[in-house]
Amino acid sequence: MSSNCIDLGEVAKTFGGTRAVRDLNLQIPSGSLCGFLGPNGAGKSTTIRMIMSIIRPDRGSLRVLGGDALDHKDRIGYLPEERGVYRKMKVADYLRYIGRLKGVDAASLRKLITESLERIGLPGVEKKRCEELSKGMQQKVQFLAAIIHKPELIILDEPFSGLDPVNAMLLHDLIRELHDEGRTILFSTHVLHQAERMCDRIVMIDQGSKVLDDELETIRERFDPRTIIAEPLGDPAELSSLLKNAPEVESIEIDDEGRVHARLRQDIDADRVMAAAIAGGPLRSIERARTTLDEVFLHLVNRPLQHGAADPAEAAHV
Amino acid sequence: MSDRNLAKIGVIAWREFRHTALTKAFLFGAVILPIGMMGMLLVLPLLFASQFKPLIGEVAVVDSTGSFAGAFDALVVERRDRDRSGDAEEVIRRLGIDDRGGMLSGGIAAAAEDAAVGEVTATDFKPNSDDLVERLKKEARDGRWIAVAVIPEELLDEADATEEQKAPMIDLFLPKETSPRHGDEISDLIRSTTVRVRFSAAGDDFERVQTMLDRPTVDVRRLGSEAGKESGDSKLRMLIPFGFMMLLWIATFTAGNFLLTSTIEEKSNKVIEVVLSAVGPLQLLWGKILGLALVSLVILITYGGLAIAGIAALALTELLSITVLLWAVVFFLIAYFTVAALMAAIGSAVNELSEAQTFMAPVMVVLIVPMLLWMPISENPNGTLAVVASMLPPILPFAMVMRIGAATDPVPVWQLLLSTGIGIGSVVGLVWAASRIFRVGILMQGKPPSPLELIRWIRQA
Repeated sequence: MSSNCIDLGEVAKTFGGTRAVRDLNLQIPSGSLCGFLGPNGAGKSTTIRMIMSIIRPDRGSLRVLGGDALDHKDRIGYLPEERGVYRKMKVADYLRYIGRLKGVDAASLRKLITESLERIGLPGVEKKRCEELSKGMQQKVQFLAAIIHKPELIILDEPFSGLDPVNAMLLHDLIRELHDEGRTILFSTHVLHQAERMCDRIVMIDQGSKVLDDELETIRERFDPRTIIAEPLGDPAELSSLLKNAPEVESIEIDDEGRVHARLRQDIDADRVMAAAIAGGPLRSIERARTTLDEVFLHLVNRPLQHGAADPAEAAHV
Repeated sequence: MSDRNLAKIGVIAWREFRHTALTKAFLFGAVILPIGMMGMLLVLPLLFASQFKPLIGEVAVVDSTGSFAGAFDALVVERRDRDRSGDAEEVIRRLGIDDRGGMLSGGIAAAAEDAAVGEVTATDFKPNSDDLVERLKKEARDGRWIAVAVIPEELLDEADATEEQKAPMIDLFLPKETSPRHGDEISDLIRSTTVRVRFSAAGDDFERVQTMLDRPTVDVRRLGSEAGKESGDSKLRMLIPFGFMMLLWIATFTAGNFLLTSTIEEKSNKVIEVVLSAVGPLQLLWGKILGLALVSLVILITYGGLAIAGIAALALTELLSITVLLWAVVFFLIAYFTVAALMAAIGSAVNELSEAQTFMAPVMVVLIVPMLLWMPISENPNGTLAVVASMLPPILPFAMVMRIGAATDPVPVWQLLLSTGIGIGSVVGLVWAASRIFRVGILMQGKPPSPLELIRWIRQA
């Protein structure tokens, strides 16, 4: 059996005149925590639905857990982007129903549901109707429904949308926990910094095509901005002229907030430049700039992101 | 299909049944309400009857012969005797109900007794003074009389009751508080008494003439195909096929409607994709269809049970046989799956109930046809129209249950088998088409498809 949990070869899907996914090749290794990124309408949900065999690709090969997802539904946990609950059903009944459909035996479900609800910070809501819960609480119940059967592959489509920071952090921890237990996790998001905090692997798509597929560390190295940002207490021009003379510095500029950006040459020791900056006078702060996924994406597609998280000026350095 | 997949269909079916039938709204609306209404239908006439006050009092009659009051009193006594049991028995006999024990007529008569003519008497007054009528009218206003009737002499005179008997009229004065019903009763008593007095004046015996004029009762027996298989004729026979058809209609369309709304709800709640991550669309479709089949069965048993209990209470069980009931169940299943397939397809194709109306209209137009066929099929259950209708999907189950309910002679077995075969074939085709629409439509959002798009879905899926 392949070590890839998900294996897509040249998969394509068109809706009417819109090519939602174009010849997509995608391999998700077993045990990885993979972020599936892209702006709204990039084709993430369509790809995920094809992975789940909810819709069929027009062409291409698609293997999930070594076969068709339809044959392994009980081994896959799926949180769709378009998700809801049976409003009139009680929380425990709803989870029991989904659990039974996922092949969990009825006897073990009661304990499992109580424990799981406690774990996600919703103790004692078993008897409440789903419609009585807040939107955020419903989101957590939906997440629980996706993993109630302890699947080996978990696919989460925009899991953080609609969650407040506290619950987003809780979900973040839960996903990490599931990953630590050895489960393979693929989650999509259009908010790139969330993936940056969690994933060990990143796949980016845009307009139905893959634009990036690599380990996070490799991406960071590849897109390292090689820039040191220092904020002097005194005149930024003094620090700027000091660093301009250093042989490691390729170029330098001062931003509107008085911070000095020193771009370094290839294969040099950044620590020496930082030491020189500190020796030059008192500083409010000094840091080595890291490329955000927003910037990487912006660079790859050569256009501004819809959520506007990236600064085009910074991206120009990438 | 593996045991595991079948078990999942069972889980879906149970949820559909539980969340539809085991709810307070359903138990109240579909079970308790009809039973209550049936009870009301039985109890209300008795309640109404008990509300009627008997007609009691004296009627002042102004007539020159002086023989009116005696005839009036005799008529009242006769009417009271007849009302106690005779009317009820006559009504029941006309309906063709076998009430040999007299239980039913006794009950109706007992309830009607209070409403019957009570202690009413008449007092004659000779028109000997000009102000007699005015005086009697004043006394009536004061409550002394319940009515004042002025009978023109020529109305009671046998000799004049030939050519111009219609010319003069009886004047009847009633106090303003007299109920319309009591007014009618007094008027009727006075008119009937007038006829009797005429007979007496002519020297004829009214009783004898009335007996001679009485049209005899006819006991109609329908001859069966075999000797000794005669059945009673009953006006209720016409109601049996209608009852069968309505039962099928209510049971299948109520459950079908639940199927439609539950499918639309799953789409609009966006829970559908969660469910489809656990089961295939066909499993979901079958789970829903089977779960709501149970709901339909509960409705059928509730209403059908009430109807059968009613028929048994009226000792009309000869109108139904086990064979008829078994065939009714076969055609119920065909009807249910026909309606369910249509509703599931419509429910999956639309996003809101209001959008479903567009597709429901043509379905309803076709399925309303059996209602229009009630009279012709009841009149001639083995006629060409009936036979053709019972072979034509999707109306065939409704038409066939009317035929088997109406037939004095059984529907030929080959026709039953052929209709069943066509029915099953059409159900298989419909469920197949519905499953293909369901598979595509269930995840569709936005504008509902046109009928042409639906056909494309069936071909593409």
